[in-house]
Amino acid sequence: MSRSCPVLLRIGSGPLRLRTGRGNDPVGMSVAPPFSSSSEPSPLRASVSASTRRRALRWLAPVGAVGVVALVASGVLSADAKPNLPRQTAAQLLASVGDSKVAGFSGTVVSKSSLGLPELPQLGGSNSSAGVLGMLTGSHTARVWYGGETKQRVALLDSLGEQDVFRNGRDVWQWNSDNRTATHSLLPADAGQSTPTMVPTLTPDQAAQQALRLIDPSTTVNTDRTGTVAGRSTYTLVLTPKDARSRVGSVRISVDGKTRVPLSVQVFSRNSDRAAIDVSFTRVDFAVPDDDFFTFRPPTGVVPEETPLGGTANGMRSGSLAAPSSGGNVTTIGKGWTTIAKVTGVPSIAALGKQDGQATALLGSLPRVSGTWGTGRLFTSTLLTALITDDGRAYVGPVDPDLLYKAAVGK
Amino acid sequence: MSAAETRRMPAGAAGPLPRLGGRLLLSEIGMVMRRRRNQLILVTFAAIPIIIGTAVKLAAPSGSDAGALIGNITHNGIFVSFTALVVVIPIFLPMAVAVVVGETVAGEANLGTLRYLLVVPVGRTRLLVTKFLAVGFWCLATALTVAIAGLAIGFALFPRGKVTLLSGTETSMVGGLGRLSVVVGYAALMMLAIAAMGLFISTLTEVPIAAMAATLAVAITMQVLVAIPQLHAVHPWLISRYLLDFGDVLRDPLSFAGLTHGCLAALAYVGVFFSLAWARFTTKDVSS
Repeated sequence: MSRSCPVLLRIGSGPLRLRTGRGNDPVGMSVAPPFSSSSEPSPLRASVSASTRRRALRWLAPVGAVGVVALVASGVLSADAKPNLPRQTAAQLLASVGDSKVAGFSGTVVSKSSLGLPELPQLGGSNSSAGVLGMLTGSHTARVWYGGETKQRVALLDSLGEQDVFRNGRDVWQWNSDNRTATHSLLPADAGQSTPTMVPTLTPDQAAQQALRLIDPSTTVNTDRTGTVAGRSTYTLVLTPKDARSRVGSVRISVDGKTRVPLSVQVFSRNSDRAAIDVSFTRVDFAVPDDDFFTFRPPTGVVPEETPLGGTANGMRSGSLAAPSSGGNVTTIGKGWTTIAKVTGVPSIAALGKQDGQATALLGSLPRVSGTWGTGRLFTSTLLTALITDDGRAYVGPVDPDLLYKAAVGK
Repeated sequence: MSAAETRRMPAGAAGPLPRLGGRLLLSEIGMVMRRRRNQLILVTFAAIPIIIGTAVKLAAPSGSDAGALIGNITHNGIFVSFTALVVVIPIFLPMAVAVVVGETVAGEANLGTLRYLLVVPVGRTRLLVTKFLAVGFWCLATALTVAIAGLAIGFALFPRGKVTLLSGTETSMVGGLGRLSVVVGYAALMMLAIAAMGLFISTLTEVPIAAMAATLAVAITMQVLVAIPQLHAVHPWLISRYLLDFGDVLRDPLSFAGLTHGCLAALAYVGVFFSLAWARFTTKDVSS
């Protein structure tokens, strides 16, 4: 009975049959009506080839599905029209960025850094951002809300966790979901626009301000082709350091065409065309967020901790664009693109071993260097170099090692 | 109990085809749920949240980095469900799905019941869709079992009331349950994506155990690839990358960004692999 039903016909090697069928009966395919094989046995072979061919066509369905997926995934279908923005010179653009003012916005920021640190497999499934090492490698996502100079919220997202900083007026709340701790601090009454950056992340806006601060005779500023960031048309500013001792090749800032808010900052090193640091909005909305977003009430059962502000997690800011300005035991040496951050009181490797095995292993693998300044270990990457001396100093900067040694001699 | 036996229905008396399709689906689901090993799987899944809840009750995780979900259990029982789902989604759920989906076509072929099944006046396409829907029901059933068992043990051992979200804000119990059901739905959809791969594999062989093993092997291989950061270029194409992306549901304000991405990826998997399975099953020669 299995032979009588068209669907049950043995078709074994489809394409092969197809060819022989066509050779024997060239008109077969056009003559054979669909589903004729069971009713008309005489042109059986022709209809077999036709239905074989028709069945072979079914494989076009998965091919089509793959095609649709590829199209959607590559963004061809959703690609925005080419940005059509009036021309601007670099100077005009810089000026407008300088005094761009928005009442508020909210969005999602993704920061990616590939500084050449080893990326370690994470088999736990959770993408923990905790720790300095975590911040310096890989990709991190934050949601930000900005409602004016005294209202901000940053939520640093783990896959199943979150660290938050709420600022509303003088109140600053920090929340860590992993250990359910809430910390409250009160800013001085005259606190202006200094954004609390306990959460080690920078919005493109802040990163761009940092970069623009470095603009002086040491920098060439150009504009590049317009682009699209977070679905908005953007201008592109390219800052190129003139000082060849800096490892920063160029900094590309994408500026929103309408509001002139920087939407993405990419830092390229001198010898790589892949961005070493990339901080970009993936979604941005320039509507002023409600006040609700900035208020934090500790959940029941959580006793908030009162702490004075400052000094928290300073070390975690080293992932930021340029050297941390000051604060704690960090000082800066030099200026512009060759600024070096000097940190004193760095724990020795032995002391660190008790706290963080991963960091110790990493530090221990760094090459030993020595000079008139003493001995230590040197970390080099395409963008950042760091010198950690055995007597507890550390020098970090986007510069060649020679400059670090020079700085270390000066103490 | 043979597969054909359960749907021995006279073709003439079956009535219109849509009704036959509905009966076919019910019979498929019944076959999945009546199978002894599947019932055992469900029992095992119900045990997982019970073990987690009891363990946390006996020795509450202390210390700074217990993890947001498990650390919340002692404050609200609903987090037993969330924690248990996180535990089962990467390996256990794909395993349960592989066991059932491997059986779908290859199992019938192996028993020699597939050709009888094709005599029923239901096209191969509809048969395949029905089988896939039954597997979808199974995906949902497994995730639901974990969630419900988690709620039962969680509310028995731990407090109820307001649910602390990852962002530190609180939502009502109803809100928490709503978010839990979104997570269950998301988990089921992720498993459906793996099931689509399994369905295709199942049409390639007549040995059900091979289809099960191959499906599970593919799922686990993807997990391993996702754990290697150097391969991040291929990660967006792997369904495993999205399995636990429901964290956004537990935040305030609620965001569906991560979820949408994962759902689209799952639908893409279903689209590609179901069409592959369809192309294979409707063109293949069924001799057993």
